[in-house]
Parts: sequence; C-alpha cells; structure tokens
Amino acid sequence: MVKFAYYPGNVARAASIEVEDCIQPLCSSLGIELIEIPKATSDGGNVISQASPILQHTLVARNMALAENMNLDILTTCASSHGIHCETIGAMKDDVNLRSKINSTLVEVSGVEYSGESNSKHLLHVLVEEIGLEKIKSLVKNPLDMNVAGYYGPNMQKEGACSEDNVFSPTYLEQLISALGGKPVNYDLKCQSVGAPSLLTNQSSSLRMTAAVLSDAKENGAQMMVSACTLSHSNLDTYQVKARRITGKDTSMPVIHLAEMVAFALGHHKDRFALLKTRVMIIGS
Amino acid sequence: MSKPVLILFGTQSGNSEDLASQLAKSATSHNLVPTVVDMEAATVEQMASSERILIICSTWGEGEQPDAAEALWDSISAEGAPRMENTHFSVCALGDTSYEFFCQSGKDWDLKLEELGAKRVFDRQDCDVDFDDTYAAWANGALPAISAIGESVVADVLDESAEEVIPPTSDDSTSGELDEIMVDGDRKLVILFGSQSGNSEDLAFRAKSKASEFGLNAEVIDMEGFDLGLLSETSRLLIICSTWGEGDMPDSAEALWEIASSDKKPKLTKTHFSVCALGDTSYEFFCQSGKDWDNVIEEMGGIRVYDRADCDVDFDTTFEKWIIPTLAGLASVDGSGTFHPELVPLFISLVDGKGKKTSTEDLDTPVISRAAIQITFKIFRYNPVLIENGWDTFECKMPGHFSILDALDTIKSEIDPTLSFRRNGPLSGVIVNGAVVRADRTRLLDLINLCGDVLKVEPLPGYQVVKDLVISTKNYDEHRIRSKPWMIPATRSAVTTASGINIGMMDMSQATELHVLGDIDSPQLLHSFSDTLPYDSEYIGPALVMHSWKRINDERYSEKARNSRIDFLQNDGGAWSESDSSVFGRHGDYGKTISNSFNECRSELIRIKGFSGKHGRLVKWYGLSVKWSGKVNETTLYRQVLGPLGLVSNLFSGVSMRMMLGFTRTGAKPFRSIFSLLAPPAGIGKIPPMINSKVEAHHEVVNLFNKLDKRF
Repeated sequence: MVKFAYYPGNVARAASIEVEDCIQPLCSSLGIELIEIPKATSDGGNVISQASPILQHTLVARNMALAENMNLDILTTCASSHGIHCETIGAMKDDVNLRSKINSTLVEVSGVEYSGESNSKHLLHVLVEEIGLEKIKSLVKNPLDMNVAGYYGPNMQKEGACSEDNVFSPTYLEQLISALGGKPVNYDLKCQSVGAPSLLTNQSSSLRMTAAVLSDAKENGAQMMVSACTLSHSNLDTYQVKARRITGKDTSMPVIHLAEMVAFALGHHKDRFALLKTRVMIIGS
Repeated sequence: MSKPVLILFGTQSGNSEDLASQLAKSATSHNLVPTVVDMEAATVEQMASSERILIICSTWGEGEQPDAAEALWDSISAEGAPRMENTHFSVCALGDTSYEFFCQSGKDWDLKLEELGAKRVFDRQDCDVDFDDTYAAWANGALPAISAIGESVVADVLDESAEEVIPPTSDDSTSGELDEIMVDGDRKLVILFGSQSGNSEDLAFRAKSKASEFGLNAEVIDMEGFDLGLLSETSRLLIICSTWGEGDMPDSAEALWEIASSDKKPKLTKTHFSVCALGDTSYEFFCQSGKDWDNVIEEMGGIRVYDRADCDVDFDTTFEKWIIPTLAGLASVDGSGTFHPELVPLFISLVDGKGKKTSTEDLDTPVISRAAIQITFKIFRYNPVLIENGWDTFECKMPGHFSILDALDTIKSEIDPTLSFRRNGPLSGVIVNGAVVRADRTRLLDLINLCGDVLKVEPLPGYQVVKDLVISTKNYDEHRIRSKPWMIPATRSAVTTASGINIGMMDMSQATELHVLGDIDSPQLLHSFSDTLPYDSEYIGPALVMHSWKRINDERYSEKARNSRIDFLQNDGGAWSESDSSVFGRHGDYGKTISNSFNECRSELIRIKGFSGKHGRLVKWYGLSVKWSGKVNETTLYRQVLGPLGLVSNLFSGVSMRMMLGFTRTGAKPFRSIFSLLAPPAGIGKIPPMINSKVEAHHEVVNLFNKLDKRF
C-alpha cells in the first residue's frame, strides 16, 4: 500500500464534487492510501499571490509542512494546485531568505516548518511512475473504448512540476488512456491554458481559449476530453456552451476529470460510466 | 546610395513606351531610381541636368522622329542647346530593316548627345521588329554601366581591381601594409543603430563581429541618447537604421535625427561612413530613414566609403553583400584618417580566405566530423497568395550541432527553395514542439533531447504570419508605440566626477534589479510566451508589460511618467489582461523570473490602486474567503466579482443552468447538503454552497493572514 497525504485542491470539494466521489474508490483499487491533512487550507490559487506572493507561499508551505509532519508526500488531483506547490517548493529551495522568513512565520503561527523533504505529486504522475501502467491495465474492468483527448493545461507542464514527463510534449495522459482501453487523441493545444484564473475577470479571452482547446480536440477526432486539472475542468465543462456562443466553434464534448476516467475504467460508478457513454454517443461523435 | 536615371521614350505605336516601363522595373535592381518620361513632355534642360539618361526611341516613316519626339528633337538640335558634359547615356533604337532608314531616329539621338558632350556608357542597340532579344541584350549592358556612374570610393577601387588577380599576400609588401595598418593607432569603428523591432540592433552586432576580422575595434551604440558631437572625432562610422510608419525614424532615433537635421549639426569632415537602411518595399517611403541619414552625413562633410544598402524585409543577402566591401573600405582608413584605396581588395581577399593568416602563430586544428542524426521535420507552411496553410514533412540527416536555422537553410537549399523563414536575430524565433526558441541559437541535439526526433516547427504565436515561418511584428510594434516605451527622465541630484562631469547615481541593488528586469534576449520571443495573446487583440503582451514595469522601477524615470505607466498597466490591455501568468513557467528559469516579475507588478498595482475593478475584487474576495474558512468560496467570488449583472448574464448564457444541472452529466446527487434547501441555487448540482465549513485550527489561518497581509 502506497500512502499519500491527500490535498483535494480548491474546488474538488465544491464545484467539482465528482472528483471527490471518484478519488477514494480508484485509490483503493490501486493500493493507494490517501490520508487527510485536517488543517490544510487553500493554496491561494495563484490569486492571493497577485496581492501578496509571500502570503500564498506561506499558505502552501504550511500545507507542505503539515504533510511533512505526517512523513508523507502530498498527492493532488489538480494540476493547478500541483503547479502552485512546486512553485513554492522551488522558491524556498532557491531563496534561503524566503525560506527562513516563511518558516519563522509558520513556527510562530502553527508550530511547524517545512524542510523540503515532502514533495507534491500529481495523481497522473503517481499512476504512471509509481503504480505502473501494466498494473493499471491488468485491473481494467470497463475499457474506455472511445477516442479520448487528454488535457494537461500549463500548470504542471514546467520543469520541476511535470515529473519525468516531457515539458512541451507530454505523453503520460495518452499512455494512461491507452492502458485504460481508450484511443488517445493527439492535438496541439493540450498544454495551452484555458485562462481558468481569469475566468471571472477576463471572461472573453478565457472563453476563447477554452473554445480553442475543445474545438482543436474535437477536430482531431476526440469524442471525450479528460482533464488533469480540476480548475480548468470547470472552464472546459461548465462554460463550454458559453464558449461556443462567443466563438461559434464546435465545443460540445463530454469533459471529465482524470480521477473519474480511471475510476470508471477500474469498474467503479458503473451507472455514471453508462451515462458518460450515452453522452459520448449523443454529443461526442 | 540611390542613383536617379531619366528614361526617355519616343513612341509612335507604343513599343518604346512598353520597353521603357520594363526598363524602369529592371533599373531598381541596379540600385537606380528611374523616372520614365515621354519625349513629348520632356525638356532639353531636364536632359542637361540629368547625370544618367537612357533613351528608347522608334523611327517613323522615312527615318523621321515619332510625332511625340519632334518638339524635343527640334529643341536639342537648335543652336544654343545646353552642353551635356555631366550626362552619361545609352540609346536603344527601334526600327524595321525593311525600311531604308533603319533605326534612324535612335541613331540621331545617339550622335546628338555625343555632340553635346554627353558620355556614352554603352553602345547603341539597333532593334528590328522582333526586338525582344536585342532589347534585353542592351538593357543587360546599359543598366549596370549607367549604375556604375558616380560609385563610392570603394566601388571605384573594386571596379578597377575586378579583373586583377589578387596576389597571394604571404610574403609580399602588401601583406606588410595590411599588418601595418591593422596595428596603426586608432582602429575604432562606431556602429550606430536606430531600431524599432530589433533588426537593426541585431545587424549592428553582426557588423561588429565581422569588423574584428578587419582588425577594427567596433563599438555598437544605440541612437537613443547618443551625443552627435562625439562623431566629429570619429574617422569610421557605420549607420544601420530602420524606417518606421510613413518614412519616419524609429522612436529611439528621433532625438538624434532632430539634431542632425538642424543647424546645430557638427562637421564630420574626418568621418568615413556608410549606411545600411532597413525597410519594407510594401511601404511608400521605402528605407527613408536610412536615405535621410545617408544624405545628412554627406551634408555634414562625411566621406562615403561604400554606397548605402537598401534592405527589404528579407535583408540578409543585401546586408551580407554590403558589409564586406564597407568594412574593407573602413579598415583601409589608417590611424590618421587617410583612406588607402589600394588596401581595399587586400582586405576583401583576406576575409574571403584568399589571403594569409594575420596571426604569427600557425596553429592547425583538426577537422572534427560529427555523425548525422535522422530527424523528421514537420514544418508549418502558409501560402499568402492562395491563403492556404498546412504542414510539410521533411526526412533529413543532419549533424546534432546544427542550429534550427542551419537545418532550415539546408532544407531550403537542398529540398525546397520556397520555404521562407527569418535568418537571424530576435525575429528568427520559432516554436518547436511547443518550445519558443531562437532558430539561430538552438541546437538540434538539445531539441531532440527535449522533444524527441520529430521536430514540429511553427511560426511564433501571437503574430500574423506573412509566409511559412515568417511573421509580421506589426501588432507588437503598434502596441509598443501605444505603450510609449521611451525614457522620460526625472530631475535627479548628481555627483561630479574629477573631470567635472555630473553623473547620476543609483543604488547597486536597484541597478542589479533593473538589469535583471531588462535582461530580455528578445522581446518578440517573450511576447510569444503568453497563451492569451492570440485571443485578445487589445493585450499588449508580457514583453511590453515587463518593459513598462522596468520603467516604473527605474528611479531615473519621471514621477509623472511613472504614474502614467501605472495607469496604463492597470487599464484594459495592460497587466491584468494576461489570463494565466503561470504559462511563463514553461520556459525554464527565465520564464520563472518573468512569472515572478509579473506577479510583483500586479502586487504593486494593487498596492497603489487598491482592490479596484474586477481583478482587484477577485483578489480581495479570494483572500477574504480563504481567511474566513481556510477554503475558497466560489459562490462568494461569483457574487462579488461578477456583481448582479454578471450573475444575470450567467443565468441567460446557460452557465448557471449548466452548473445546476451538473448532476445530469456526472451522475452525482442533485442536492449535496442542507444548504441547497436553505439558500438555493447554491448547493444544487455543481453550484457550490453559500457558506464553507471552517478548516481545523482555523485561528492559525487568521493569524497567518493578520501577520503577513492586514489588507484581508
């Protein structure tokens, strides 16, 4: 059994509750034990840093320190959160003064400090590198059997955050889709941002970016999209109709989260998978 | 230097006029500026004042002039017609051998001009009714001949030595002269550039690099802030200047040009110079800035060592042709400022590899062979005529140390000559498998290690594509102008040096910080780092945001201008238009630095402007909701950032409905908690609840906020 401290991100327990429904069953199937970090807070979502970079770094470092006290690495399902964690970890490694300032605040406020031993890991990287595609393949009960476009987003596609995958031309999602019995769809914009942090403030450009990603995947034959980012997932799913209206592009496609896709293929939530397959037949083709 | 040529035609049936038009088109490629005039409209005075004349004239009836040429012929044949000693000419005569007086009119013009003292530069060509080949032979000879009139000193020297075989220089006396001049006192060369998009700057550094081969000690200087008076003691000068808008100087050259074109301009009688003008033939005032500099330096007494090069957007070939003879000319100016024409061909042969090594040490380095690697290139193609795009695949074997540019050059020369791309400088940037790289600086091997052996090459995003990988920076340049990037200095206290010169002082840490902010290899490439740009035409892009941010941090910048920069970045199209600054992090440490600077810029805007506007409200309420519960409350964010109108808009655009009906897509329960019944629609489907439960030890979160940022 592999153990991780579980960090759900900012929206998995709010607007993207389906992620929360799937993560525990899929982890139990794969021998992953997720342990809650009770005092963990939001990571600031790269929004708080726009007013106070040090405040966001300290929020993240506190979560990391709490995981470190549990002698565990953090596992998250959200690419944005993982990217934010890696930024803080990198900044504290590079800048001794910053590390010292953050840790002295943490000691004073929470009685913890972050030494840099615990790391952040994204579910995708854990599945491919630690669990292994062969093991996952052997556990598949309901093969996907459809054309699936993987969406990485920009947050975990940078050095230090993409693990052993390629920064510019990642393939982990495609490998995983194949292992789950689906046909991976290659398309240019799989790492392009959909402007999730600015959805409420720069909605026009954010929706144009969303429409571009969805229509590019669709033009390349995707019947469904799977997102490695919970935050971007909201843009791609909830706002796809508005994105279509603004751009006139064909954006209609079921979009699910990585945790849902793996859980469905491993035989969990059969009713939801049936619903998804029906939606793919109606709007994904 | 452009050379005007008067093309006169006398026509009866239209043939001479057609040929005159053709001739004018061909003339431009010989650096000539043609004026085509019907003999009916021409005057003898106009002819006498022209240094170069080409005549195409048909014969009519029994050896008569065409009707349209009669009056001009009468004038030039009259007594008292002006002498034409300064005129150079050639004649193409059209006629019909079946007539007795074949080509008589043309013959008459040829003799008459000679009589008046004009110099024939190429023999008359008599053309029969089937005149295509004979006309072409004449044009091919007459145009270069007339273009050579009044060449610069170096061109003259080169013409004279064109037929000579350059002797080997290993042991003869000329070798000694070269060695002597190359160690003879002042070898300084000033390279002044005026740049808008970076091309001139890039060429200036290329010129500097080349200059060292001629034993010149070159210094590259931006026209911005340059003191023109310093040139009066300069014996060697290169000017590389682009043209902007309707024949205007680049912004950085404006101030210098004002002085150069005023009465305050210094005398440059010791200065040997040449000009490389950058422009775009699709604009009316092609290379106008360079032409202006060329003329004004001559007016100031400068000695032109080589004719100006007028470069179009694809400037490499023209620049390469210009730079060698120009540097050879400037290198032939000795330490006392005397030009030695006999050394010009020797310098050229030296650099061409025909001469000897100037080093006294004879070091032999082995030839290193490298195994070629099999690479597949998928290259984006765009045909602007058919408005079609697509991808071409090239299977190649190339050495790993080749740059992307070497690879593109090889493909163009060996496989597909129609492939277009920029060769050097900041604009050589392309996207390879998602990575923004400079084609002239990135090795294939590094890319293969990064991306695998299939390299997908695309033009930079955020720009309009002109053809294949060539982009237009028009939008970027317009945004740059809009961002008013120039330095507006503040009045500052200064210290006085021992020699009595006042200089400003800056704290070392601030100077370092400013240097880091401005340490941008290519603003055009940084512009392409943004994923937002292709979707927001108003957004000025990260490079220009960073430029303004650097100005704001520069204590030499005036307070008024700083406030104006802050307003500019706060407004639409400014720093808040970047939808996702985390994308910069893709580009390694450099991207991380940009990402951090971008964040600092936004923090400063919030500090100065408060939590105003949608962006400010988002930051404020995001922070507050985390402080209140430890978690983000999306419902609060929607309500506070979008406001009532935004919420109504979401209702009508289907967003709210899609959120409420989220359970129909995910299969989850429609109602999540009691909150969905108490305060609907929050809590229904994918709409988050109105109120978050608090995280454990919530007081720690509150303390943390209070300690680090009391604004929340």
